[in-house]
Amino acid sequence: MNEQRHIERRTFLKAGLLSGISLTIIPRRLLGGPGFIAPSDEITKGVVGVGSMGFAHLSYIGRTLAVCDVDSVHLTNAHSRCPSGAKAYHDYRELLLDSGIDVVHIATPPHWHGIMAVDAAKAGKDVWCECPMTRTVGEGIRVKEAMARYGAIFRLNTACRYEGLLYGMNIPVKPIKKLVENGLLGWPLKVTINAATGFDWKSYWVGKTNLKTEPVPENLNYDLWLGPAPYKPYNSHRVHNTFRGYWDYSGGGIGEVGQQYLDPVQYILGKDEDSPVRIDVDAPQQHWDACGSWKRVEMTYDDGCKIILDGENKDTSAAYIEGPNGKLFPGLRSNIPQLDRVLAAFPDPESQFTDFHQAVRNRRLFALNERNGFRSCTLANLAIIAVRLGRSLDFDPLKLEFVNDEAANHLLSQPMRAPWTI
Amino acid sequence: MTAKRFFYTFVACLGFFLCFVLKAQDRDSLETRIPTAADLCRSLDTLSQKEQKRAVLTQLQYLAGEESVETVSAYLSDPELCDPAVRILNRINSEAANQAMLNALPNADTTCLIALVQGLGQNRYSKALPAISALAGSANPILQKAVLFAMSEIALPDSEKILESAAVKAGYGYDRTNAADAYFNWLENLYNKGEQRLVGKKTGYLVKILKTPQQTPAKCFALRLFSLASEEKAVPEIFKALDDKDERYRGAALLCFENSRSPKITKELLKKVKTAVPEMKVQIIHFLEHTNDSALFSALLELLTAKDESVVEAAIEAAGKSEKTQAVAPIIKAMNQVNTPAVVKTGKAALLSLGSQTVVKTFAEAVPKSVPEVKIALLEILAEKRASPFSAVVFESARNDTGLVRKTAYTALKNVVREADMDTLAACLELLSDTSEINAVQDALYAAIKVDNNLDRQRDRLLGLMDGVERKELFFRPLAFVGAQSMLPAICDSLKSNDPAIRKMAADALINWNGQEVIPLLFAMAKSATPDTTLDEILMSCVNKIKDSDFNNVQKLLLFRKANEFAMKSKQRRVILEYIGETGLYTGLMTVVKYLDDLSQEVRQTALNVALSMVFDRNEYGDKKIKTLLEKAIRAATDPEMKFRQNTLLEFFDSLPDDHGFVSLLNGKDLSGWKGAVENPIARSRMNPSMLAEKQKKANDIMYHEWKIENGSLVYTGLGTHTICSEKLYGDFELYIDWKMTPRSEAGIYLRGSPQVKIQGAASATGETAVGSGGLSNNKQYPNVPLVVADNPLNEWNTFYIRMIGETVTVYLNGQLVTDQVVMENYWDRKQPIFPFGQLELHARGNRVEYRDIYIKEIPRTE
Repeated sequence: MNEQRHIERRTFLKAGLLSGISLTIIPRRLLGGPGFIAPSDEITKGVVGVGSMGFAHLSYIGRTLAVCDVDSVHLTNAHSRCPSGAKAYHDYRELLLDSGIDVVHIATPPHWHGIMAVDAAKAGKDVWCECPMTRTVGEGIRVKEAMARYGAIFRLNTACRYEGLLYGMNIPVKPIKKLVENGLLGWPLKVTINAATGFDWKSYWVGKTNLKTEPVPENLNYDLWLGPAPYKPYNSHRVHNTFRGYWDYSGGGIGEVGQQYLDPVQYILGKDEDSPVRIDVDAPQQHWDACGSWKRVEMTYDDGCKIILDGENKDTSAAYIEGPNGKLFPGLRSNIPQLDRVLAAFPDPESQFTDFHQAVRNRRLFALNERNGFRSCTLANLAIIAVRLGRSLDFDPLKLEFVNDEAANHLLSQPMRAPWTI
Repeated sequence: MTAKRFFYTFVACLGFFLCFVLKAQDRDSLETRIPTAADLCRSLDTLSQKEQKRAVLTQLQYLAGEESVETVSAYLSDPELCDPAVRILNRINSEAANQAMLNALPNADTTCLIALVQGLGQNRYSKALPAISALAGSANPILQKAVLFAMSEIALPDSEKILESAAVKAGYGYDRTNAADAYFNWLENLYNKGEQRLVGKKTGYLVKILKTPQQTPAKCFALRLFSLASEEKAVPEIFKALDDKDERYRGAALLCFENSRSPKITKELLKKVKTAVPEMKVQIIHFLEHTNDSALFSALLELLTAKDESVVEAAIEAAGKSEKTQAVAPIIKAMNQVNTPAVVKTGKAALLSLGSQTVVKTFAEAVPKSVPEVKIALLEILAEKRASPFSAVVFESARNDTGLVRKTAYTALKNVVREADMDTLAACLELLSDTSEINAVQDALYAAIKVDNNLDRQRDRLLGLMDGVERKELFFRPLAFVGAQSMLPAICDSLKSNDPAIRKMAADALINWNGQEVIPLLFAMAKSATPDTTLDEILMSCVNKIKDSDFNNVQKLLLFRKANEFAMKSKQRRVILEYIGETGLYTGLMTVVKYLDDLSQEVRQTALNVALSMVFDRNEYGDKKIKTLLEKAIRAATDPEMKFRQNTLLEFFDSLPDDHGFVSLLNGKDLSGWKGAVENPIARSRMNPSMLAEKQKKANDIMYHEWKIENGSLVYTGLGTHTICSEKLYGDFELYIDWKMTPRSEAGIYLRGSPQVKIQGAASATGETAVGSGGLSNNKQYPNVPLVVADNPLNEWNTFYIRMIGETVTVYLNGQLVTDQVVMENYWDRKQPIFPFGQLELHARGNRVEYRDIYIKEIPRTE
């Protein structure tokens, strides 16, 4: 029997076991009394996708009540590392029905992020999601809608805009934000992201072409792994880490680290509610399935600010940020003398709210949430679309669509394989 | 062309087709689209395997237009192909496409049904509503989900009964058919179509009947849509929601006001704040942040004095974002009154974001009047603001306060002192006994001086101050920051002092020295250090100075390798390996790969990463031996990042050629590949074989007596007749070789069996008449001395790079050019040019000489 038929039969058999009735979900946070969480009541989490990145989530704040994976080997392995009493689920929809879980951690490949986040909000859960926020712009819009609709709290898993060091720049983002906010470099600004300024575009995340069909391993539910992605015959290179090399699930190096590098830039430039109007690209012809290498993407905003993704590391002497009045290099080196002293005179940027469990308790926006996260993910997704099409694009930041470009607009919201919708 | 061949050819060109079509300037032009899509459609008929058809259908998505509808529709009843077919029709979204999907419904099996219903829903094809509605109530939850979804997207009032009853059945909570969400989606779509009244009625009803906790997400949604649909009429309900016991619902209520903020709403919310529970007060305060309303600001000032800690914290945060400096004093007051860690932390952030130069005075004035926790925060703020006009406040605290406050004050000094404070600093230096306080004042002294950019003036001022002080060693550290070379002898002397405190200050000064001249001193200190934290500081300081020095890469590598011999901890090894990697030199790579199987995982991982990046940067470094070593390490790696890349990396190594060129002449164990010296090349060519063999055997015996392998290096032990020769003969080549001399030793490298690239002993390499190594010293006609003296001191390693092409030789010593394409004369017969081939010989005499890292790459001659 051919593979898809087999999968379909399994799904159908499983379907018969489910009833459509909802189960009682009493959120744990309300069990302790009228609308108040006792301080000793720890917030709990369930982690979906525990093959590699999800593993790290097990040690994040919040007590792990459940793990979920479509690969039984990964699932068993992660389950063994959980505190006793934790459950193991094969299907995330069952995890969502688990009334004890407060926060859902999504560490699956990107093509699942959007659907899972939306479903989690519907189920009354809050969300902690891996980057990139969503594989497409359309899914990002739906995630924003869902969080607002159902009053859910959402955060992304990249923290540079509020803590730690900004990769190879070796300084926190705060002084950079201060520098820009107080106009010390002038305006507009040009940001260059490459090896010289401290960033690695992970050009090794490319896919293979002409993949041979292989038998699906016993431990993997390939149909559920694919979910909304188009059905393509199984090959081990498509799944488990190397999925990063395929457009259907991710987007190569830009898909992998794009949002992580671009989100701090967006914050620094103060463009959390804006998107570029023009994207220029230099990339070889791309394969329709496998991600390939790319050379350069330049994104320009309406006011002239530019972000340059220098994939071939050509601009070796570029500053990280450059404006008419000054430049900034790694380590806070600048042509402005005694920069740290100059910065000390200015007030700090507005504080950011970085206590996630407090955000969950007080129902407030976390520092990096679905709104600003949507915009920085859009930066990465716009770059990916430009690379796939290999030509310049004009974008409307308000309507969130390309100008006069049907093919590009088709890539904003890609149809999902039935029965998955968002 | 057979179907199969057509298919394969076609698939191979698919990408090109795609590119061509999507890159075309007028994509909408039918001329560019039809032929290609038509090709695909035609190919569908000729293909026999479902796999192939599916691939074609998936691609057709991007190209198909109206003309493809008929062909594609044929696949709507095939369970394996209906999904891609539906998505094509989805894209086309024309009347014909949608009609085709509708027509396929009656005969579809479950799989196709689900895809078709979903597709029709996505296209919002209202004509399909009756047929789809008829499918509602299915026992199959996946089909039911698709049906409800489609009905919600088509969004006609007719669907009210089915959607509402499904949602009721699901208790308005989350279930596998998504019934509740479908109902809400339907309502929202109706709202977008202008059906305000209907939506307002439904949502108003929901808001009243939804009660249980599991219905909260639904209630949140209903309230929001209710507020959009019914506007003013919904406001009382929203305000009622603000008192709900579920904070999620309260939050949703506030969100309703998000896009309709007005002074009226602000006023009502501020009224609410007075009576709400603390949790709700906090939520309202956060919601009102950034509202530029004077009523809000006064309310915040009042809330700063609230009893509940979380309310005060929220008020501080909001006041911090108000950009009003009038908030500063009240915030400090609140911090003092509540002074829990959370409040102080939030307060500090708020003050910093309000802290323009005008308010720094307020910070300073508050220090003496604040409780310890707040004092600490304020001192840290003064430091961050470089508030030098108020250094007196910090001094005061340093003198009079105790414990953590005192410590903070001392740490803050270096950021607030001015030149005028130098004398005060110098004076108090002598009165202190606590090491960390002494260091803080020394740092402050340096900071005060640094304002003047001139290094010489800085040094002179410090020396002047030092004169007035008895314990000179107190000034070592600030003088070190300035790199006052004149002080080095005194500091070195103090290293031997009887007083441990003085020894420590001297060592500390050298470790923090500003300048690379201190590197040899640090090595000397490392030799006598005990393996405790002191060695760590000395070694890390040393390697960082090497890294930042102006030495060339070759010299840096030699120094890093020397430092490597002192490394005892994984962290030290890791840093050194990374710095070695940055030199990019082949010998560096050979050093790094030795650590691929180190006991420490950290070191192994670093060695692998550094080696990989060196090979990526210079493909020619990737020879067979490196390949094998790296492959083994890649497979054995356990860190997640390496596991991700395993396959890609192994493939990269597969693609490298087996032979890169550089071959090591030392196997590290014995003298294989080497033999003793027998007279000279001309004499040898005239000997008969048996005579040569006999002499060779005798020479080899002597060789084994005089030359040894120690720690992988080739050592001349200082006895006897001195030359070791390569078994192999070489023509044109590049050669790397490291050498080290001891007193009274002499050496040289013979090329093609002839002398020599000279290695000077101590006598000739130093002093006024110094000659230096690297010259072709046996030349008479052509240059025979090096261009510069580039030798490292005796007992230190040196690196030769020697290139011989034809008759000319180029030599670099420690990265500097010493012989530039000079003809090497034939010492054995000056009438002929140098031999075209010959053995490589290493000559040494007088005393111990060491050679190591001998790599040779033959350059084939093009005749």
